[in-house]
Amino acid sequence: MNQNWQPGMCNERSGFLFSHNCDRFDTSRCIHCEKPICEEHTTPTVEGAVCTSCAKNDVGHVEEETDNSYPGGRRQRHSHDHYDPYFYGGYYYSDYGRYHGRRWGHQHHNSLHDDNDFTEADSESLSHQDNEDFESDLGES
Amino acid sequence: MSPLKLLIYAMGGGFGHLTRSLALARAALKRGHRVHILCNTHAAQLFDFSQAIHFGRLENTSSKLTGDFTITAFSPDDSHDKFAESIQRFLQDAEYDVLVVDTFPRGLIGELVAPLSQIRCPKVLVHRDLNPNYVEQYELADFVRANYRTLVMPGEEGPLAQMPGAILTAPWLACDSDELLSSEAAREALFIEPEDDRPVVAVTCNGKPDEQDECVELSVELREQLGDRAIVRLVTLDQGICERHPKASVRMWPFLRLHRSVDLVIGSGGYNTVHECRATGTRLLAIARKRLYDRQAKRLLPAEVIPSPADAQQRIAGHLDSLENGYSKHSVRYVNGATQAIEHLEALL
Repeated sequence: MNQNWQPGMCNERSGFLFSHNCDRFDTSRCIHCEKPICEEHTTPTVEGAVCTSCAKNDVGHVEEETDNSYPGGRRQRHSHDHYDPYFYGGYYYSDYGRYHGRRWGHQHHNSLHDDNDFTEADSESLSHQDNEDFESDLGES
Repeated sequence: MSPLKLLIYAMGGGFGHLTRSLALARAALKRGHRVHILCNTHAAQLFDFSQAIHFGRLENTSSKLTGDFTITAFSPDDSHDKFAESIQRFLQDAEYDVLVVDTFPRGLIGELVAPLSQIRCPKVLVHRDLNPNYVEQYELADFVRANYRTLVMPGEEGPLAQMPGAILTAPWLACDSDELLSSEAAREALFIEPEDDRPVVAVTCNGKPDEQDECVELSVELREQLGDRAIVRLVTLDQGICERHPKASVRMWPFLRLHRSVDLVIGSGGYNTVHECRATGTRLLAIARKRLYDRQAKRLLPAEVIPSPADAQQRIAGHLDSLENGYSKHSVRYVNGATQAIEHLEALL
């Protein structure tokens, strides 16, 4: 791999809204790009640990596998967990910044995404939404 | 194309609406257009608008505060009736080619509802994230569809993102990456001696008065707690705070220009703070402040959220080791969505 990875730290850049540096220590390396990654940014596969970026790149790779619980014994599934929060965030902005005609960014939404989804960080700052008084204060934002 | 005159409605408290609108204004001025901003935030009195517009690449241009760029600050203490009447009269009398409304499609108190249907020029809504209860309660989807030509989403999508013609740009930032100060110049602006290579923690202090007091107190405590391990600076536009904390505080706008020398920002989850840190790769610890319309917690990553200033002190200790091995931000480059937005407006008209 031709990247100059910073050893000791997780080198993944990922996020719910936009990619940013991870501040955790590395615990393993991605088997594809050799990037040092932390547990949070590790997607386990049968081959070994994969970073979030490489996992995202695999999103279109649908693999066939045997599933005896599924009618007919076979089904298609993606090769990693779509509910991984970093995978979720990255997928949403996977083509962010590209110009599609008159639209910047992704042309259509991931069906998994809900604009009103929240993280665990939301509860405190949203706690007053039960008592809203819109269009009544010239100083609100 | 011939120069356009943009009228930007940037009403709302705090710094967010005004800062985002100044970013759009600078992008328009760079492309030869004229801009008039309407605002009503208390923060307006802290600005030197000539400086706020004419730094970086605009320093030596012919754009002037009057003429190419004008700003009208309404009093945030006006009665609702007086405020609405002032806005409506302004919209009726002013000349402009496009009306850009930031965040509030009906206006802050619904004062745009009547005049919008009378305005014949294209109307553009700047649609950042927004409380969905507000959207639902006022049936904003129907209202926007009936009154606006298009929505432009400045780096984040609001509840109306699915409307036809909505476009998403990169975040709108107060300066372009080639207007960032060099690390050396930024450290000098932060009163840091050239030989001092300690990591820099910047506490931004631009919220409501009680939030500002919290930030001032936090910066004092951090200086004591971190001692020689880091340099702590309070960043504010409030001259009074700077005078009370000389050398420990910096009056600078936009703060983004200093990012090359800043290792960790402690602030809020407001639009500008968050997107500036994202753009420059600067670590952020932030309090998600309560706002009626803005969902700051939704904008932040879980790892960035601190419940209170007291929690910041604990969390910073966990960051310091890696901050001391900080990486260079000499090569930071980002796309400023404000320029993309102006290009879109030009194509629209």
